[in-house]
Amino acid sequence: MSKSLPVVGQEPSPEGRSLKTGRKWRRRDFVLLVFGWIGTLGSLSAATLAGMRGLLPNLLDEPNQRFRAGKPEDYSDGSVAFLDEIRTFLIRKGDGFRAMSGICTHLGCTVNRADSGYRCPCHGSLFDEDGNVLSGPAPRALDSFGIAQARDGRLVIDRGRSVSPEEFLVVGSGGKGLEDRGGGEQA
Amino acid sequence: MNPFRRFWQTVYRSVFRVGIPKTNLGRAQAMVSSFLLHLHPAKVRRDSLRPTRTFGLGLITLYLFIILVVSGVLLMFHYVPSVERAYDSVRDLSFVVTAGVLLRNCHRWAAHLMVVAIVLHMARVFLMGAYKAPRQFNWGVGVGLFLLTLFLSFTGYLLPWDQLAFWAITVGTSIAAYAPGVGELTRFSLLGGNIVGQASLLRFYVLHVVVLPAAAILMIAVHLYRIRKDGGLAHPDEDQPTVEEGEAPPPQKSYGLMALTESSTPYVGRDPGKEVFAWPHLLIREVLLFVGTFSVVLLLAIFFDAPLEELANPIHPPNPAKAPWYFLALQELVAHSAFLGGVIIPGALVLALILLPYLDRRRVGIGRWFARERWLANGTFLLVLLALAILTVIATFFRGPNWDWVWPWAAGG
Repeated sequence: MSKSLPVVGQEPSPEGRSLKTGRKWRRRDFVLLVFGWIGTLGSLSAATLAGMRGLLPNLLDEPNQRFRAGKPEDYSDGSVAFLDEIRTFLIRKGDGFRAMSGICTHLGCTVNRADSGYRCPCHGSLFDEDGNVLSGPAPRALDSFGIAQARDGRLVIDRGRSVSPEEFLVVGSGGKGLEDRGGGEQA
Repeated sequence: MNPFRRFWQTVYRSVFRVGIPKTNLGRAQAMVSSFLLHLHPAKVRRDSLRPTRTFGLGLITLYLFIILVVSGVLLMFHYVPSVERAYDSVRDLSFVVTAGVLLRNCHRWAAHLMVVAIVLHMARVFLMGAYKAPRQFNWGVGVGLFLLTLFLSFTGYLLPWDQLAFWAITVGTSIAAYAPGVGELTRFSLLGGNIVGQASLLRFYVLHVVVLPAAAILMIAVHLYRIRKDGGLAHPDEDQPTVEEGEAPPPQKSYGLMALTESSTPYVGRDPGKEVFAWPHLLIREVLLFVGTFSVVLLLAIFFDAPLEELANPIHPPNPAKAPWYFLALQELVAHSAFLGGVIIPGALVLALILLPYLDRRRVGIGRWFARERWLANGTFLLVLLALAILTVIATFFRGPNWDWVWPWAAGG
């Protein structure tokens, strides 16, 4: 211990009892150093992380992923209806229904119906009738969402469930409701 | 002396240590005894004051920032960052608030001018080779301020919550989502959810009025401080082709103590004849430049109204949906590929700008416009600028609905 104390009459180093002077480490210095850094960095980073994590909302005030789109009879054969609230096209072919997202997979603008297919007004992506990319910067086809029929016969589009573009929900003729396929509301 | 006058003198002296200086010593003392004036050196190179050296671009940028802060604070008294009321509160500026339209116009045109000024300032520094040692770090700070200016512009035009705002947030945060690894998280935290809504508006508002300006003020302070610590403006005297590459000369003040007096003492390379007192030579130029800058902003604000599109419609974007002119090159790029044009190319350009002074270390062509020895660096820089300008022109005039190619002189529009 006494070795590490400054010698009387000698100028102490500017840093005081520096750990870098080549002298033996004392336990006290080591403990102070380690716990000092752990405490400083630990508290700072914990506070930072907590503050940043608070910016990620735990509760989202956003519309339900499931959207009730009305009865099958509301849509005529061969029609393509645009559902404003969920920016989704509801396509009817015969008794088959298909829900296709109207949100461009490029940067999120809403596509418009074109002569044959869909066009994005923001960056010009062109999609065919099935939502496949024909040209433009879009990286993949328009999403297709699962549809189910609720007990009351109404169509329920589930935007949380992606399906292949070939998948159509076929409803029985005469508006007879099919069994709920798990996508309908339970109320 | 009567007591009132004496009291007044005491107060005045406690604020201003030195009165209006009449001697050179006084002029030097005035500059170093006041907080604001001490941002300046007591003496500056006569050369650095020549308008064609800098065109005052950095100072103009600073003045525009100050105008933006003041007009922005005034706008905050009227603006409500809520999706229900934002649009109406901005419209009220035009129809209800006295001189509100002037206030908003000032803010808008000063912001546009600041983008122009900071790009020109950057070009000036580049074309003079003024980013070289010992100014590498300050160049980096400048690149940071350039990015902050763009982010401030972006967050600013989101606030009126018109069509431009809504779809700019949509597209902007979607570009962020393409960043590898952290993209989706960035988008989620910027929006405060998965969709553009109230949380998004509030976040961009806080960024615009507190976070980004605070960062800008801090970086401007460092930027100005380093100008002085790095020896003032770059000057041809700093050309040292003989010095080893990367061996930076020690930072030095732009004047020595000897230079404060006009004596016959020779002082090699720094003789008093080359330098003049900042009071009044620099100060009068700064004041005039501010008057000029402010006048231009006011004239634009009086004659041209800031646009306001229709209220945000979350269902359909306008067609075509064009960004403000300073982001049109970026829009043209992402119209080809979001990842390449929105992440890779801008990221590479910024990285190249920051690394530049550490890669280009030849100590030639410093402080001279278009030095012939720097033809490669200057040529590359001008080519990149030209490419961005061409993209901007294409996006402005040659893109119609659905971002289709149109000939501007063809009928319709």
